[in-house]
Amino acid sequence: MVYDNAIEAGNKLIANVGTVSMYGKQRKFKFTRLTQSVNKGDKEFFVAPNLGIQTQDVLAIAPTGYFFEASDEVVVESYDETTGKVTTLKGLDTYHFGSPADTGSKYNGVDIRAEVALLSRSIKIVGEDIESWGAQIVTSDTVESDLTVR
Amino acid sequence: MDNVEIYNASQANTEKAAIRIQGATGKSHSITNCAIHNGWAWGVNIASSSNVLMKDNVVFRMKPFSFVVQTSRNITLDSNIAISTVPREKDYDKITKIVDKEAAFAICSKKDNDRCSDISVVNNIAAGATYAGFIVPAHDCGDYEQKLFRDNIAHSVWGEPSLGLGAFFFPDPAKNHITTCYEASRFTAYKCMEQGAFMFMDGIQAKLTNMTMIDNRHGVGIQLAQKENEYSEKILMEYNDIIVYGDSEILDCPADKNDKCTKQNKVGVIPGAVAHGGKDPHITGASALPPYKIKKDGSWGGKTVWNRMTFKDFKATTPLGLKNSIISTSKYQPDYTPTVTAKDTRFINVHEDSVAYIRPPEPGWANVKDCGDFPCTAPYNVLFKF
Repeated sequence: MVYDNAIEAGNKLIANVGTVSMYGKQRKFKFTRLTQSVNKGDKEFFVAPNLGIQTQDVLAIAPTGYFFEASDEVVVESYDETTGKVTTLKGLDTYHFGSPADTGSKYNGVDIRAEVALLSRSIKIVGEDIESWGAQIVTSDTVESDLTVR
Repeated sequence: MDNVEIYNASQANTEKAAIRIQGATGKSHSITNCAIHNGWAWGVNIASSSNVLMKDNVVFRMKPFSFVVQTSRNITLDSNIAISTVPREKDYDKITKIVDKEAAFAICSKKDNDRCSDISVVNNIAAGATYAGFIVPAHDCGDYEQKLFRDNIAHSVWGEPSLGLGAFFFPDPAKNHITTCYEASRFTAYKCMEQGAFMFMDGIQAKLTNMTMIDNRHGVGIQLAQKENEYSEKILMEYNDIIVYGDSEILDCPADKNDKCTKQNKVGVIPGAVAHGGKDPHITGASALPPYKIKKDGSWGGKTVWNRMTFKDFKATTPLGLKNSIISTSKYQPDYTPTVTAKDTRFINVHEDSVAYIRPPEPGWANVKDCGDFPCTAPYNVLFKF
């Protein structure tokens, strides 16, 4: 698919030349923080309570050391809304720094605890795993023959 | 779009990102609270577009960019987090020595002299990235109300070979920065393998202001490229209100030994430098790395000013027993080190052995092409005035 001479849309795409609206279910958080440090092999970790994390939710734990790839991706087996304890089937691949309290008081307002982000949403757009060529969502204007911009 | 999950998306080795907004100027577009993860290429590509809001999104393990803005207007990136922006499968070719263009957030940087306007990058986090967390234009000096770039954080930045900047700030080609002054402010970086905040492009005056740098291996640094006016009294590298911390609580080498470790000396701040040539924001030649390496002849001018710098929590050695230095001369600065004038500097919880390390000249500089039959002696001629 080609929009015009300047823009190649390609294929395997959702092409938006007007307005597309998608609203998934609201979740309580985008990311939270580790409240205890974790090590390789751990199958449980602690985050804030009352986040509404559900079984089968997928979480990403950010690296905290120098190495940019030292992140983890885990599927939640259980979450305790009272304590913030998350259990997973698979052990973690690496260490992440955590602490019960925001470290801002030590580092000029900077919280250096690992970010724990929620990757699951109720609306999913899933690309094919073929030759490293997945899906795209492409938004562009098109100009009609009467010069109407869409 | 709000609260949508997108994965296995984008096309490897192209600019076809999971979300691409290209040539879209007629309407406003908003992408909020979405999760874009585990794709084959870029996370988000906003090109030749206007009126786009990206807010509160999570981007995880995209290659080798999470967010790219190119030739666009009125674009807002607010409170997004990019976790583990990773290299392409073949990002660094050891035979050709070509380095890939990479970063968590590449803001009007991917193309040379790209011109954007009304860009706002605020409150974002680059949490794990290859090459750099942010590559972004600097703002006008003294404009502390600006929203081009502020309150962003980068951490855990590394890459082969010799990469790892929290942010590389470059003079905005849409303005007259290189003949006047450019500045970056309100930024935090920690656990970056090179500088937490860095500049090294053409200019007369460059400033870093109001920043927090924690446990970055080579601290923070400003360098300038200037040949025509190399003796000008106006050449200035200025640091204002920056807090530089030594080792943090985050382990360099965890007990499980799974993390890639750094067992190297650490420095709080590298000295300013002026040379006949600087670096592109996306350095693509391995020989030009690390970014603060001076490849051209040094300029015989320039001065560095520190205003209200604070150095905190520096022990005599790193937790692994290696050298910890607040002030150190550069391994890559053979010709000249501009004088540093420091005003109202504070040293808090600093071991006396960590205050300064003046490197000896590198024996390798003693060759006909570089320094002649003796090493250049800039490292013997450094002056920090407090």
